[in-house]
Order: sequence, then structure tokens, then C-alpha cells
Amino acid sequence: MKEFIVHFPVLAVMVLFLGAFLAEIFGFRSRIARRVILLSCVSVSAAMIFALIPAVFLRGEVLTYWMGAWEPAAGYAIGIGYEIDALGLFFALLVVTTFCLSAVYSLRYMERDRHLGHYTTLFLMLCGSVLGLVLTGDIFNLFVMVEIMTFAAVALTAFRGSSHGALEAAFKYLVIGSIGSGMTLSGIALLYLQCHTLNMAQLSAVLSGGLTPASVFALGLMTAGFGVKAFLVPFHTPAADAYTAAPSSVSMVFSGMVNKAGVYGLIRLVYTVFRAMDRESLQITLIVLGTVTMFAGVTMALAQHDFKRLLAFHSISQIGYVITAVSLGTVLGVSGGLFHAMNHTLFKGLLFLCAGAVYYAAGTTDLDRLGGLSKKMPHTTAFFLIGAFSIAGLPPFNGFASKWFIYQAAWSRAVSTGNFFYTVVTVTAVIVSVMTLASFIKVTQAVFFGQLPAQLSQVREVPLTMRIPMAVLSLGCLAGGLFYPFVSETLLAPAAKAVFTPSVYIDAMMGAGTAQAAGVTDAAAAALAVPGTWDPVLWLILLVIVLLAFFLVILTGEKTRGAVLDDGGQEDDGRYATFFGGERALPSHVSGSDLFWGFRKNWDGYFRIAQGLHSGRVNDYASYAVIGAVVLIIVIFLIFGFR
Amino acid sequence: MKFKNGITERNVIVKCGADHYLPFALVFGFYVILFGTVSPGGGFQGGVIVASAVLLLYLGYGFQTAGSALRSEVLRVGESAGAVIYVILGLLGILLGARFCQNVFFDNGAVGDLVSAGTVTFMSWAVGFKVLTGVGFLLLLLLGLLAADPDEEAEGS
Amino acid sequence: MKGVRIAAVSAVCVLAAVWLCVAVYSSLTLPPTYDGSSVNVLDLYRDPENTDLSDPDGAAAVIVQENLSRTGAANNVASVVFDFRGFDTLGESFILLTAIAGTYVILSRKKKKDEKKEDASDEV
Repeated sequence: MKEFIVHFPVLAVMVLFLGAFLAEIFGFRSRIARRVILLSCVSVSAAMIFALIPAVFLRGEVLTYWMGAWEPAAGYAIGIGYEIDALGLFFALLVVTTFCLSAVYSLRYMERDRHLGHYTTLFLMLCGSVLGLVLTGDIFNLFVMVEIMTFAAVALTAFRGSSHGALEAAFKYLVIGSIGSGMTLSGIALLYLQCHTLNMAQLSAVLSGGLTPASVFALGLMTAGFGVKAFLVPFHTPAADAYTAAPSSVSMVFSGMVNKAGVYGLIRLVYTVFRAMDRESLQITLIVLGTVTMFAGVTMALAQHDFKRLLAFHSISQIGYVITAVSLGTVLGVSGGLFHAMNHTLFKGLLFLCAGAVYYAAGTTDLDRLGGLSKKMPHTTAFFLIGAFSIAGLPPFNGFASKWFIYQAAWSRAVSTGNFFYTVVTVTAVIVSVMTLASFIKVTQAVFFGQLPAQLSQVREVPLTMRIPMAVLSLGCLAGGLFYPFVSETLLAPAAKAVFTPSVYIDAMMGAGTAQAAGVTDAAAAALAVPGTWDPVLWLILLVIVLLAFFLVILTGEKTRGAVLDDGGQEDDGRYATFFGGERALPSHVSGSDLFWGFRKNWDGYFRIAQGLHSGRVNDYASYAVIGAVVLIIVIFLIFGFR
Repeated sequence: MKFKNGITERNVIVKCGADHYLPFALVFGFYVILFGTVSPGGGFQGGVIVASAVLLLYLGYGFQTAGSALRSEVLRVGESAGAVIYVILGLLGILLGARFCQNVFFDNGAVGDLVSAGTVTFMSWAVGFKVLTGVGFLLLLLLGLLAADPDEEAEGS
Repeated sequence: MKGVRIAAVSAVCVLAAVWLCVAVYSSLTLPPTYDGSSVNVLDLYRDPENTDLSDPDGAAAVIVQENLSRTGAANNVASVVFDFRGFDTLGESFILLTAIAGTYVILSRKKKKDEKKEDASDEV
């Protein structure tokens, strides 16, 4: 049994793919077969990944596995290897959590759709591909998994083909995704021509001898390619359409797993393979990308009318946070970024599941037509509030803890380098957080509070199987915020250390001593300690007092709000008489478009330009992607030109 | 001028060509799949050549005949079965105590024989089967779209 | 007119970027991109028959020279595709299956929608 644990990484990935094929063979006629295959494959795979935690996190080993037992010969790696260090297992845990909860949610959520056999197949292929992506140590295998992920994601976006815009969203995702995949493949081919090997550990050792222009070009191409997968600006345009059009269990997987695949690829590329993050100009480039993404995402979200499209733009914005934090180049920054990636999976998954619950119950996600759902769906409202507080960064939830890490990391960088740029980044991060809070106040008011329209008076709470994943994610949000020192020590510190110790990565795969022979050095041990964070307990006490006062005011207030709006008929109940002498109660629900109208009007010029750029035409989107990639490649050439 | 079975004058030549080339395509395609490890070719290449039989049937006989001769449900299940066989061949490595996808019996014949390279041969066959059923299914799907177009039926003559 | 303006502005920007890069690069001394240490491509181009190719570099050396002893396959391409890099071929076949399943999902929606539209127009 102890020997068999060696095979667990491959088996965890293969079980998911086998389940996809079995679902295609047996899952078309029988609902039981589909559900059995889905749940069993998902749980077996999750169990195998959880079984690797003691070895990698607690004992600090790096697990390696050569496919077909092709050990390196004559100093070169001839086979494909799986290499799981703390960073890879961290992302694998996120992936596994996301797809387990999404599978449980989709049991009831997707029951009204047709072609569920294909849904199971495509869903399991998507999960297997992302899991394979984070566990692999070979760069071409990474690309193959990225391809499977792209095609499965495109097919799942188009799944509800009869809904408005689904096919169009899938087409845009396919075009921009293919541009990204093409750039990644070109980069990999250039890197192989230069280094004669495809193993990431060996590439790292070979590239330590100096970067030639071909490898710099490869770095630029691959950075752009992974930026497309992570949906950074200017590659973010298909994300808004794709997250809206996909079914909500799939949107949760997109925002929880597929984004993180791009982030993981980027971290592996610049920190482990190229080890180029000691150049401050590359850090500044990636931080600029991340900051622009943060800001553009949240400002576009403020102007949205559709629930899921708003959540999609917020997802883009939070990934901007992650990339900014990871590109700061310090251990605190990287651990803040990884913590925010984990929390983003939890709270954004929760928010998408709540959006799906609203769609399941009410049939629409238009913010102008919803309202007052807290009367009929109290559990969903509670979960949504937890998610909204987390994303806005209110204590004691997890979003607060990770944003706190990010502010501290950016600010300490600003203090240590004295560069005004980092101050701007910190201030932007805080402003974006405030705007996120504003946007979620708008959504909460528009969907859950206020007055219930008459046509929605028949909605009921969603079934239990849909509420269980939401409850689990809410608990995760709460626990991540309350117990963040524990999370930081057990999960984040090993992962962040793994990012900064590439020689451990190289030696585990290619044999001890390779890293030293190639001249790869790690960061000094003193720099690897995660410094203590500022103590937020005082802020927490203040917030608790304010919240208590707030609830006291609400509870002692009047109960006449929340009445079911009548569409135009006569009010015959004297209790609901208004002040306007005998006229019927006017609809006074402040809907999604009415809140923050003043803000939108003041920034009218900006919104006109931004919304004009998001024209919906795939030609424009593709040109933004290509121009963005070209600018990024030119900037990277200029960075590496100055020695 | 229409003959019976909807075959017009234009189609007779195409139908005869399809009749004559179909056996060649099938035999050559299966040869490329089977001898993939010995001569140039392999699973992917041979599978696509065999799948061109679907195209030849469609060109010669129209979609009704092609669709009834090759049932798309069978092809779809066959594709997944081919994938399952490939994964099981990879898992053979784990079952026999070595690593995943290992060539566990690679010296079971002299070099140049048909079955000589162990799992390489069988994996090539599995991929060939998968590609031929998969691409066949895809062609039937896409050609079915063309055939369902009502305008095409109307202007057959 | 708007298209012509955009084209002109883009052309100017591209030319400016190219000039900037050329100016920067010609002022630096960089190591060569490919130093021809393993295969001299100029010799190979001028005289393919007499170039000595028996010493390739890197992983390709092991795969080409030790192919028959490590796998029994005479076709070296098949042994690379299915044996040395067999896991990637597994992934590629999965891509094929995913693409075909995705096509089925998208096209069956279209067929259903066309049928529904035809039914609706028949009823009217």
C-alpha cells in the first residue's frame, strides 16, 4: 500500500478521464449510471489527492514520477515526469475542492437540461485536464492539458445552446483561447529548440546558463499565452461572455479552477523555469498588468445589468489581485497571492452557486427584474451575504485576511524600495476593494432585498443538494478568515517557499547536485520566513460593534418593507395604505440600474469608452489580444536587453 | 433526368468511383494502422484514411445510405471504447508493478514483426480504432447537417 | 474614413516600435541565438550527404540512438509517439474526443433549434 501511493497522482487524473469515457458509453440512457459515475470518480480522485498531503505538506518532500519509467539518460530527461511540490499540491487541492462541490451541485441544478450524458463527459474531462495540468513536470504535457481544458470549456459554455448568446460566447472563447494556445505552443517549440529538453526542472537548469534571444521570445510568448488562460486584461474579453452563458455549476468551475490554471502556469514559468523574477522591471510589468486588470474588472462590473456577468467581471478583477500580489517578488507577496487565489475559489464559487440558485428558482438573472428574494430564499440570501462580505474584504471572512496580506506586501515593498509605483498599487488595491463592496451592495439590494415583483411570488428555496455545496463553501470562507494563521503556516508557507527554492525542484527530478552544477541558487534562508502580519483584531472588534448597531436598527424598524408588489391592480388591504391619498402603492424598489447612477453619470466618459471597447465583436476582441501580446513581447525584449 | 433511388445522371460517375475506391481506402487504411510500428504510419494516420470511407459513401450514395450503413450511435460508443482500451493499456504498467504507460513487454518479438514492440503496437491499434470511429462519427454529424437542409432536397434535379 | 485612420495610426505605431527595438538591439552585444554547436546547419544546407549527423544533442540523441534497444519498434516516430511520450499522445486523443463531444453538443442544439423553428412555422 505504501508503494501504491506512488501511483496516486496519475491515477487521480486517469480516474477522471476514465469516468468521462464510461459516462459517454453508459450515461446516455440511465440517470443512475451518470450520477454513480460522476460521484464515484470525483470522490476517488479527491481522496487520492488528499492522501498526498502528509508527504508533501507535512514532510516537505517533492514527489516525482516518471511515466513509463523513462529515467533521465545521459543527463537528459527523455520521458514525461510528474512532479508534485507544495505549490502544485496547493493548486491541486483547490481544483479538487472545486470540482467535488460543483459535481454535487450539478446533480439537481442540471436536471432540467438535455444531453446530460455529454455534460458529465465534458465536465469530467475539464476536471481531469486541470488536475493533470497542476501535477505535471513536463512543459509539453502542460500544453496538452491546457488544450483539453480549452476545448472542454468551450463545449460547456455552449451547453445551453438555446439560451441567448451561448453559442456566441463559446465562439469568442474558442477564438481567443486558440490565440493563447497557439502562442504557448510556439513558445514551447522555441524553448525546445534552444534547450533540447522538455522537462521543466531540466529547462530550469539549462536556462541558468544565460538567456538567448530565442528563449526571451519564448518567455514573452508563453507569458501572453498563460495570460490568455488566466483572463488578464487585454485578454479578458471572452471571460465575461463565457461565465454568463455557461450553466452556473460550470461557471463556478471556470472561475475557481480554469483561471487558476493560468495563474499556476504563469508562476511556474517566471519563477521556476526562467527564474526571471529577480529583475524588477519584469515584476513591474506583471504588476502593471495585474493592476489594470483589477481596476478595469471592477469598473466594468459596476455598470452591469446581469447578475452573472457582474460576477464574471469581479472574477477578472480578483485575478488581477492575485497576479499583482504574486509579481511582487517577496515571500509575503507570493503567499498573499496564493491565499487570495484560494479564497477567490471559495467565495467566487459560492457567489456563482448562489447566482445559479437564483436562476433555478426565478428563471432569470436580470438585475432589473429581480428583487426581494430574501423573503422566499433565506438560506441562499445568507450564503450570498457571506460570499459578498468575503469578496468585499470585510472581517472576519477570508477575503479580508488575504487582502490584508496583499496590502501589507505591497506597502512593505513600497517602503523598502521607496518607489512611488508601489504606493500607487497599494492605493489602487484599496480603492478596488471599496468599489467591489459598492458593487455587491448594489447586487444584494437589487436581488435579495427590496420588494418582490409579482411574477416572482412563486419562487421557493432551492433543493438540499444545491444548498450543501454552498454551505460548505461558506464554512470555508468563515474558517479561512478566522483561522488564517493556521492556513498561513500549513498551506501557504510551504507553497510560497517552494516558489522560491527552484533548486529543490530541479534536484528532485534530475538527481541531487544538478542544481548546484548548473549554478542555480535559492533565496537566502532568512528571506524565506514569512514575516508576521499586522494585527487586525482592533478592526475586527470595531466592525463587530458597528454590525451589532446596524442590526439593532434594522430589527427595531418598521416591517412594511418587502411587500409583494402588485402589478397595477387595486390594493384592497387597508394595512398597506400609503401616504399618497388613496392611490395604489407605487413600485419603489431600487433595482440594479438605479443604485450608483450618480457615480456612473460622473464617470460617463470613462464608461462610454470602456463599454465601447467591449463591443461584443470577436474581431475587436481578437485584435486586443494580439496587440496586447505584441506589446508584452516587446516589453519583455526591452527588459532583457538591458543587462 | 432522374433514375430510380434518386441517382441522377451526374451521380453515376461519382457512384462508380466511390464503389471502386472504397475497398482501396479501407484496405490501405487498415494496413497503415496495423503496421504502424514497422513502416511509416501509425494509428492516427490510418484512422483518418479509414474514416474517409464515410466520405466516399456520402459522395457516391447520398446521406441516407451512408447514415443507415454506419450507425452513428455505434461509432460514438466505439470511440469511447477505444479511449478506454488505451487507458487500460496504460494501466497495465501499474498492474504489472511498473510505472504508468510503461512498455512492459517490449521484447515479445523480433524487430520488424507485426507484433514486436509490446504496448506500442497495441496502443497504436487502439488509437487507430478510436480515430476511425471518432472521425467517422464527426463526418456523419457534419454531413447530417448538410443533408437536413431542405433546400438541397428540393433542388436535387 | 475611420478605418483608414485606424490603419494609419497602427502602421505608424508598429513602425515606431520596430525602429525602437532595432535601435536598442544594435547597440547591445548579445550571445548568439543558436551557436551551431551540435549541428552545423550551413554545412547541412550546402552538402546534405556528407554531413556527419551521428551526434545529435540532447534528449533526441538518446531517443534516436537507443531506440531499438529500449523499445522494439522499427518505426522511430511511432516509438516516440507511443512509448517515450506516450502520455502526451493519450492526452492528444483525449483532445480529439473532447472536440468531437463538443461538436455534438453544439450541433445537436442547432438541429433542435432548427426543428423547433420549422415546427413553429408549420403551425402558423
